[in-house]
Amino acid sequence: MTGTKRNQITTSPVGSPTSGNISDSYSSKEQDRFLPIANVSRIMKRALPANAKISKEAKETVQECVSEFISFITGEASDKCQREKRKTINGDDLLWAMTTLGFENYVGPLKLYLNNYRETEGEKSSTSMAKQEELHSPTHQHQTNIDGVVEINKLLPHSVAAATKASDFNNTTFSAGGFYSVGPHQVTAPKSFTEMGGLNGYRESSIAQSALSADQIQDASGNRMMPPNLRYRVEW
Amino acid sequence: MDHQGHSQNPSMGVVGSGAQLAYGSNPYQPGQITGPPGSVVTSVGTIQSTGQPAGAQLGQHQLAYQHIHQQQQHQLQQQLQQFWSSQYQEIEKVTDFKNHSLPLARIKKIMKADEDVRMISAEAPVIFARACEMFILELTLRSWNHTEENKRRTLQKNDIAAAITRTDIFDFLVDIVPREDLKDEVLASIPRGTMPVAGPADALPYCYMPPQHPSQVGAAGVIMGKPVMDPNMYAQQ
Repeated sequence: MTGTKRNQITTSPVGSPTSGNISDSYSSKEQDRFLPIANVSRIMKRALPANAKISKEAKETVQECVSEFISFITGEASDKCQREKRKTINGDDLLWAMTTLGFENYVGPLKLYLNNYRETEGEKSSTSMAKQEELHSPTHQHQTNIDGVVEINKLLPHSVAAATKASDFNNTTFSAGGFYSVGPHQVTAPKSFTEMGGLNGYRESSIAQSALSADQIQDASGNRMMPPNLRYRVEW
Repeated sequence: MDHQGHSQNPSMGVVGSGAQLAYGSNPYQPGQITGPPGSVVTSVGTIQSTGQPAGAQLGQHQLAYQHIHQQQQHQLQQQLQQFWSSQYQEIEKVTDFKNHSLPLARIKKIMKADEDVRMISAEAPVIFARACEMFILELTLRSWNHTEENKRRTLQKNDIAAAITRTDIFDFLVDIVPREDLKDEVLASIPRGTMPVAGPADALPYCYMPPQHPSQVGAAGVIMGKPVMDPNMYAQQ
C-alpha cells in the first residue's frame, strides 16, 4: 500500500484502566480515543528503513499503545497534583511522572523542549517579527531597491513575451542593447549612468502601457529596439 | 521452574533470549557436558537424551544463533543510543511550537478521559506531543528489531508484542496485545529452524502448561530487557 487511509478503527481490547476510565472510553467516539492513524503511521516510518512496510494491525496497535502511554503518564501526574493540592497539571508534573515510571531517557530532551517552548511563548512579539522577516526572504530580488524589484517583476513577463515574438535579428539587437547601454555610440561612464536613469524612466513608461492591448504592447516592445525613438521618449 | 531458570542464568553467562535457549537445551545437558549434569538432573532430561553427534551439532547451532542474536541486540542498542542523542539535536532546531506532528486537541481529550484530571496547562499537550513522538519512534525501533530477526520486511502486530515483552518500561502495555501474539513471541524466540529435532519436544511443554505462559513471558521480558536497560535499572536501585 502506497497511501495511508483513515479507515474506521475496529474495536479491540482496551488496556487495564479503572472502571471509570472504561465508561469514559466507551462513551467517547472511537476516533477520539486514539491519535490519528495517519500521524502515527508517519512517525513510525521515520524509525524504519525506506523499504519497510507496516501492517494495518501494527498501526492500530501502536495507536492504542500511545493512548495508553498518555493515560499512564497523566494518571501519575494527576496523583501528584492531588497530593500537593494543586488543580492544574503542568509540564513539570509530566516530566516528573515520566521519571517515576521509568522513562528517564525522555526527560532530558523534553526539558530542553519545554524550556524552548516557554522562552518562545514569552516572546510572542519577537516571533511575529521573525515571521514578517520570513515573508521578505522568499522574494527574488534583482535590485536593492524594493520599488525597482516590484517594477522588474512586473516587467519581466512582457520582456519574455517580446523576446519570444521578436525575430532573431531583433532578439540579437535586444541582447546587444541590454538594460544597461543604449548603443555603440554611447561609451562614456557619466553618460552611461544618465542613460541608465533614462532606461528606468522608460521601464516605468512601459509598465504604464502594460494595461494596453497586446498589439500596442508589441508596438511598445518594437519601439524599445530603436535608439532614435528611445531618445525621443527620454526627451519627452 | 522459573526460579530454577533464573538461577541458571548467571552461571550460563548468556543474556537475552539465551535464557530461553538455556531452558530449551536443558534436557540435553546430561548427554553433552560432565559439569552441568551434576547440578541439573531431571527426568525429562533423561528421557530426551540423544546421541553425541546430534548433540554436538545442536550445540554449534545454538552458539551460532546466540552470536547472531547478540549482534542484533548490540545493533539495537546502538540504534537507540543514536536515537536519543539525535533527539537533543532535533529539539535544538525547533523554533515553531504551533505545528506539531500530533494534534494537541486530541491529546488533551485523551488526558481528560481520566475523571481525576481537572485542569491541564497549555504546555502539557505540547510536551506530550513530543513525548508521544519519541514513544512511537522507540516502540517502532524495538519492534523492527524483531521483524528483522524473523527476516521479514513488514512490521506486524506480534513484532510490537515482542518489543513490549522485552522492554521493562513497556510493561504497562502488556494487556493491549492479546495472549496469542505473546505466544508467537515466545515461540519466535526459540530457534526452531536450527533445532528441527527439538522443535516438537519444545512445543509440548508450553502446550502442557498454559497457565505458565504469563509468568514465563514476564520472566523472559525481564531477562531480555535487562541488557538494554541495565544502566537505568542500576541507577534506579
